[in-house]
Amino acid sequence: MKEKTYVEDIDRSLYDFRNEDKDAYRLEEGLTPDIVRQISKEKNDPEWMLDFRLKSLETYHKIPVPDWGPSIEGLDMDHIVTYVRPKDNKMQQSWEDVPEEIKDTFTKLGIPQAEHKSLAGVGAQYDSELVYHNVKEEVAAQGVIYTDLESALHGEYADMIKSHFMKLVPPTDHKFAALHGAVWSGGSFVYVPPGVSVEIPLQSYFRLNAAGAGQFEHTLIIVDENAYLHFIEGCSAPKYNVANLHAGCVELYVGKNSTLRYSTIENWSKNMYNLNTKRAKVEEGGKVEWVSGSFGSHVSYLYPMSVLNGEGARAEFSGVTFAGKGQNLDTGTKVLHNAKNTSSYINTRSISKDGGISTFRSSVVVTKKAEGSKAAVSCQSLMLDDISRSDTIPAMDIRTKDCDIGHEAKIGRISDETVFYLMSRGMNEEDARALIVSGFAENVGKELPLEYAVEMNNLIRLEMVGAIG
Amino acid sequence: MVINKIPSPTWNWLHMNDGAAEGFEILNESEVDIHIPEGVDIENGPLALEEIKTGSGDETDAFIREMSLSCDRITVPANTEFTEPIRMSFSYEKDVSDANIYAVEVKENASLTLIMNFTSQAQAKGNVLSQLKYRCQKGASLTVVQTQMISDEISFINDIGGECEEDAQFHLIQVVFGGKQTYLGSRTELLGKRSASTADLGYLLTGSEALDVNYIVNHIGKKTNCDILVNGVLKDAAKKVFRGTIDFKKGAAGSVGSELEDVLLMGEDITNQTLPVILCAEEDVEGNHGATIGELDEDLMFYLMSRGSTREEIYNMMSRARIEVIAKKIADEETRQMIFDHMDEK
Repeated sequence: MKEKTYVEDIDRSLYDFRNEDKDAYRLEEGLTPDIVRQISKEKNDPEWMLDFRLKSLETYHKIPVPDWGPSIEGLDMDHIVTYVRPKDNKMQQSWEDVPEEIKDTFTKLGIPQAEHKSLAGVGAQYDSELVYHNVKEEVAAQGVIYTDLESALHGEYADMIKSHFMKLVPPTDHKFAALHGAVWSGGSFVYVPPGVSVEIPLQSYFRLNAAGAGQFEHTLIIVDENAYLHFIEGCSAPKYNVANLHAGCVELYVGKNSTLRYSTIENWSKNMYNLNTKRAKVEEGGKVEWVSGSFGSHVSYLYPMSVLNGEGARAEFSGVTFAGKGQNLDTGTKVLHNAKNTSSYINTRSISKDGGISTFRSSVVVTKKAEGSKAAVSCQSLMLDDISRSDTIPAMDIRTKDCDIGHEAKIGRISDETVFYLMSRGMNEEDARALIVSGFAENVGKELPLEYAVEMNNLIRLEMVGAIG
Repeated sequence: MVINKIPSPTWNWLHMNDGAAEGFEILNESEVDIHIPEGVDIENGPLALEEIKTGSGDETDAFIREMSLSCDRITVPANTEFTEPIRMSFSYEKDVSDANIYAVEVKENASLTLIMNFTSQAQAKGNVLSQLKYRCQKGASLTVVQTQMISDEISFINDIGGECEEDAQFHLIQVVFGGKQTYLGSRTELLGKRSASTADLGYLLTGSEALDVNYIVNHIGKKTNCDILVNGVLKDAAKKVFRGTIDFKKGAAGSVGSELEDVLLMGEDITNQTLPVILCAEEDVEGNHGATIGELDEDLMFYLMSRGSTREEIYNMMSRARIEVIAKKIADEETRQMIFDHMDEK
């Protein structure tokens, strides 16, 4: 009889460290108009934003909890702190000026090192506040704006933000978009002027340190015509015994003939409810490229959406989801073809292990005016044991005859023959299986900058330790 | 009445999770022209196999109970193989509000083919409901062939559900033409080791005809197998939603499931919705699904037009080919010919 061995949990010491937050300022738990007013006051919001927040709160209370996805019964908003301000929270442009404890956190996560080696700018958020934001001089000299969203609300880009903020993801979109509209704090604003190509990526990193808290950062990126940007988003948190919540929002505006690549390695701790919303609107000839790795969280609802609004607009989505013990990760993507000759390509991999549940969920909607459009969806799932679960739920809604839509999906296990072959070449079984899984997730790995691909493979290796079956 | 609900729902805004059969009223039990081979028992009585779930779902069952309909119970004795099928012909005239309910039990190692042809006069209008529940015992085989050639003023609920024990097989072949709103539901429980099912559906919809399909196959036994093939053509302003669910339950080791859909879009105002789902709680399985939706490939068009065919001829030929792939799976020559004749008339 074949023996199976399992590790009880994963060594996440790289991410699973925490700081005492005794000096941090926390609003009381729960969600009330008074709490929303306090957040608005802390943020020095313009008046329209306070109104927006309060209306969003009303909307939140009217919208029901989703009845089609993983259970979020363990999330009690009455016990979530929606705003935590670390001590000495002033945003800095030099790591030397960031409070020691917070700087150590980001150093352990490798952010200053990555900035030095391979990034054009970095924003670092700790709980509800940005603690560091900087962009390289040569990039700023091109006219690229990369700053925290709250400062930008009061500067020369205030009108631009007002006309774009939560227009792509309105608070009425779903319950947690409404929550975000009410209590958002932190996040970044990027503007790339026409004709500017940002050759090396910008990165924002979100760290949630406080127990029982939520993080609600808002990322707004506007790439003007004929421009290029690669933006990387990272996130992590230490594990607590109480639920944490992430309900961020990402809005991407991709101008005519521009390209925006948005890469994410999501590695929240396994007590996190990740109810994030990401959406891109792509104009004529533009392209959005989503690269998404989902490894952390207790529960995830994550479906970056591409609205192809201009003729010839394109979207690519490459995603990998790895659900381990105690995780229920419901991930995928949505594409709306809403103009002629648009195209989309979705390529995902899901891996389930140790009782984890992964669900691939997608929608491809082709409207009547999207004549000449093409879409291809490929989703593959790998089951690593018989106590896990993997579902694929892809939907297609086609309203024009002049289109070409293809879909394929596969689900299965690691072939014994392949493991045997690798072992016959001198590998042990654990390494053979980890190699096969890394190869399975290569659709995402090959799209990431080298340093991030290495991090992703490390995460896979961590998840695979001991998973011999 | 909520109908054809998918087991694992997705976003509500897509409006694909279920269908709504509005205004259904059934007054009569259908008159049927039936031919039964000697040796097959048929008996009219109260509803049978009530514990079996169907593709249309619980509300359809509740509706049938509410209407106090009777059931024709068909029993195929063990170790008997009938080369001659049961033939049932339903012909609807003028105003119709008919139902027919069947329960088929195929005993051990027996085999039966059941052919059900639903036709109507061109002017007929109203509601029709058909429900078929079955149980295939160890080693048994049941093939159900259904053809639908009804007017576009008739709404039709066609509901099937059943169980297959060890080494049992269920084969469903459905060809659909017409119907104002057709709901096809089929649910198969592959309970026994090495049990298997196939479902083949061909449809050609024109005008504002609408088709709502919900196929569910639950793999429960080890080494079970299912194959779903759906070929269709949508013209004018026709609408179709196809939900196909292959569910590998824990313990269904060694099972294989596959579903494939091919939709040829030919109308300016068509709506095609597809939701092919694989649910998996077992490691040692293989599940596949694929779909191709759209117009004919331009290279193919160019090739065929260079051989002298017009665009219209090519589309007619290719739409006919999609239905023929399904029709040719029907062993009965008479039924096949009826389908081909109907396509010629279309």
